Amino acid sequence: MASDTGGVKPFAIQGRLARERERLLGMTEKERAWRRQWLKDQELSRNEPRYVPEYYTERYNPIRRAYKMPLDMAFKPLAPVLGAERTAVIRWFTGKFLMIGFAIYATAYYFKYNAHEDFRCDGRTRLDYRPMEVETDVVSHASGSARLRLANTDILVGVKTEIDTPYPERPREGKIEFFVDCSANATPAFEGRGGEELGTEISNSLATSYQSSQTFDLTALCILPGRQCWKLYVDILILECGGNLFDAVSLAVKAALHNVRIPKVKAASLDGGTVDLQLSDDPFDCYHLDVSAAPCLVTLCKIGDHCVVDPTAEEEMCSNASVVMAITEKSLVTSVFKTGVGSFHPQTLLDILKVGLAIGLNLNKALKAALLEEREQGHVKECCGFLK
Amino acid sequence: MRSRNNVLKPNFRIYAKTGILCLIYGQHGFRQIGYVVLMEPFGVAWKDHVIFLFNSHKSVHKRECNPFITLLILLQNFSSAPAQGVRPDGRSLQKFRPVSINVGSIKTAEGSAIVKIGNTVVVCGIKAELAAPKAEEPNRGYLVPNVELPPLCSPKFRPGPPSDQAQVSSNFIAETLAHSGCVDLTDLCIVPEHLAWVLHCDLICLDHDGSLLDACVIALVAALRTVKLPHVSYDVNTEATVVSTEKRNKLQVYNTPVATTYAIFDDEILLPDPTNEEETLSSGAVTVVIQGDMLCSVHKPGGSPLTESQLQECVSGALKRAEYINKLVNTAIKSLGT
Amino acid sequence: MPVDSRRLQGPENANSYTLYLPNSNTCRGLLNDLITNDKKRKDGRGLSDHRRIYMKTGVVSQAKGSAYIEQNNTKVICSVFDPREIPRKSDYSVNGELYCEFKFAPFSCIKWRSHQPDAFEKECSLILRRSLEPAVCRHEFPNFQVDVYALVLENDGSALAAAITCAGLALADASVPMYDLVVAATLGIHGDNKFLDPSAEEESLCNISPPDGRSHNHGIITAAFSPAHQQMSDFAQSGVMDIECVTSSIEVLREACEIIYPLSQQCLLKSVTKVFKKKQTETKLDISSDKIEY
Repeated sequence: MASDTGGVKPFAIQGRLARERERLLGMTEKERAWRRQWLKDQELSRNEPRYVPEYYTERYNPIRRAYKMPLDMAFKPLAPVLGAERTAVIRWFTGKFLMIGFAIYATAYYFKYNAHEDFRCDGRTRLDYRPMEVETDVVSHASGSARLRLANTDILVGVKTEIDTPYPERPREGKIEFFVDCSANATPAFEGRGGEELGTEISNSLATSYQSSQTFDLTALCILPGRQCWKLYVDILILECGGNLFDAVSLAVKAALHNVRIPKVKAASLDGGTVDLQLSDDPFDCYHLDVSAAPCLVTLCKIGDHCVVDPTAEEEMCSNASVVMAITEKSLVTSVFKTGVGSFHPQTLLDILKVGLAIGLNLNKALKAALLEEREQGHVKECCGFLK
Repeated sequence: MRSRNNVLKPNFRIYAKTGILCLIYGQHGFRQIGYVVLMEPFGVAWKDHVIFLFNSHKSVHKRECNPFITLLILLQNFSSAPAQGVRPDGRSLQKFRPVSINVGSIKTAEGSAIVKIGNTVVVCGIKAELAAPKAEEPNRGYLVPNVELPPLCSPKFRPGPPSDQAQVSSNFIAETLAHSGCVDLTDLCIVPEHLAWVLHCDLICLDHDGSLLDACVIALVAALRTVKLPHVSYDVNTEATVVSTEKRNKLQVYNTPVATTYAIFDDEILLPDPTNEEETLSSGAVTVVIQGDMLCSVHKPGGSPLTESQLQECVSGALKRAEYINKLVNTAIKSLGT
Repeated sequence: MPVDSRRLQGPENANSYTLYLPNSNTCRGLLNDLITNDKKRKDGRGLSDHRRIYMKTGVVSQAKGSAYIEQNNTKVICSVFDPREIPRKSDYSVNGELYCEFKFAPFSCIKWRSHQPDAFEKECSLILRRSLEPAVCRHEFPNFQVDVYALVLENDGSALAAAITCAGLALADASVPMYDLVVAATLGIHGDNKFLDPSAEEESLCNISPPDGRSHNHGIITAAFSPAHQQMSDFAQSGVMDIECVTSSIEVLREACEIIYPLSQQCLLKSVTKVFKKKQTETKLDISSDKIEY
């Protein structure tokens, strides 16, 4: 920084007399006169301090002068009344207070009116998902399993396979059954029978979206038409509920079904009315199911005039209606339903459905990539489980 | 009873007979009248608040003043009641409500009937299924009657498992079916030990306004008489079953039992075909089942006792009614055009 | 399935005889069976025609409000009861609740149905509740619940839509405060064909995937609509279809509901005039003949 004095250090013109001890040692006459003069110089005359416009222009740049001007003008007439010093102090504080006030007001204004500017409490835009983690093959005793964590929502899905007889009206198809268990630990609302209704709602919605033969091929589960088939029990455990259960559950179910290993049947023989099945002895000799056409559910929650995806528990409470739609990789819609107590204008519904479709496609793509990556890791995959 | 004092003040009169206490107080003529408190005779504490409106002539008006207050008149409990011999719905003491029967209206069922007795409505639908007969009765089919009292039909019933009344009614219907022998179970067998018909007879009450069993029995018999079963051929060796719906056989119904319910008041008065209100206020009920001109069974689940002559009275009344009902069912089935 | 000891049980492994019917029609054959060449359906109506509807209120004497609806063979009865306290609830709820139960009578379908509600009936109950809730002024009865029971006596397709319309009427008949009536319609989709108000046969066709054709769309959409405020109170779709199909169906269903709405209104109007006339005659009688002795 450039010095005002050009690098020359100032020195006291009092000389050695600045220190009292020196003075007590004794002063010469010349020094005494000098001292007297100096002391006299310290007193201001009646018309000091002087206002020197050039000094002011020199000290403050034009911008500072411009913004200081209104207040200066305002305080000029006050100076004779209040006294110069007092006016200066008030002037100084007024400026600072005005600045702080303006800052507070601007912040408040921003948060009050910019809430709808595609910006949510946790910093996401309306169409963003929270971070998601998925891991398959976490339960060793299940045929297939997956754990999905979507921010605070934690889902564990286990798939159990059993041999059963097919429905008489659909002899060439296997069976699949969804069961949702809302753990009372997940959220206080699930205590008692509270979770039961939600559980049926979720399992029904999954059953509807997996209903068509185009989404999940049940014929792959057939062993002997009309006699024996595989039955998949999809058990869904909601460990923690942080909102957006439908999406999380559907993703976890798709991941778990992707992970399902069904043992290969070596031979089946019909002996009278009973069927004799021989399963392969090698536990690794099994086949995977094709879940590429399975749907993902996307919840679009209507809050105010807009809809948001992946609502947190708080956002779910604020909204009075949401649309859940099931979307497959081929951009087919397999189920649409409304939850909540509100209703929609048909046009709103149309807009929401279009938004949902795009979201669903991305979701499917992301999940597929994650599952492929995990499968490529194969047996060397590091198991994280619940430690993370 | 909570009420404003000025309403309570003006006039009241106590009608008391056989333990039923009624207070009537009113103000300025007919409109303001009518808070009557009815007390159960047998120490059951206070019943619902009941309003009685009655007049010097023979007509009785039913009016709802408050959703929680129902309106009815119980003439026999008033020695000085002017409208003696008239029941709340305007009919005389020994009269039955009008009965209407509609058969074959439900196309998905093999046989169906809708019976209305006054306000009471019962639907009976019969679905046929195929199953192997029981090992201990290889040449008999199955007849599975069930009475359903859904919460839809009356505020008395709650959703969930069947109420006690539904279970008792189901058992009564099953017993009536078995004892009257109106369907021979061997007729339902197709191939002994291998294949037999299962007839699910589901009776659903749509509107419960008393005399439920009467309506159920009429509906069941009428529905059974409309049942037509498709022809089934079964190959014992290959276990192949072929059903053809073009050829249908009528189910043989040998008997037509008819039930008649009486409500008992004060151990002495018998009211036939009681409404729901009368049933809840009565001290007991008896159901007499007549088959042809013979007595089939008498169902009397507790309540106040009956003398021999009273029972005799019931049976003779029921005999007359059975004849009438049978005629009605016959016409209904003829109108089906078979 | 747990054994139900409170009902009389039939044999365990009974099967519907329809399984053994000789014909096993292919999907295409079934389609030809249902639609003639000039785009007419089996019962003579066009693809976008609704069946004739008969509605009546006040059919159950014991209920606060009730309604009956008939769409050809589809018959649904519905009753609504007085508000009662919400059972097993200790905290105060600002809005009242609706309890809805949708049930098929055991003999109402092709197959015999068990008495215990199955998953489909539970789902329908849920849809029924969702579609009625937005139309009811629930703040008028805080801490209370209104029971709505719908029973399908015969199912010849579109039973859920009929039940929603019927329940809307029954609620109005029970004088439950409402913003608007609720009406509903069903659309069955199979390939390029859109069946409005499908019959049971058409519904079963829409549930199976069409054979290799241009379009793979199939499924069923049920929508509930309140025309006064132009609000869709529920939209339930099943099956597989592309987004254009779903969006175009919304408009079709809305139009169908707009047609049913005046029918519901007329039915209510009729019941109100009836009550009013009855009241008038009663009042006349009261003045002329009724005298009370004190």
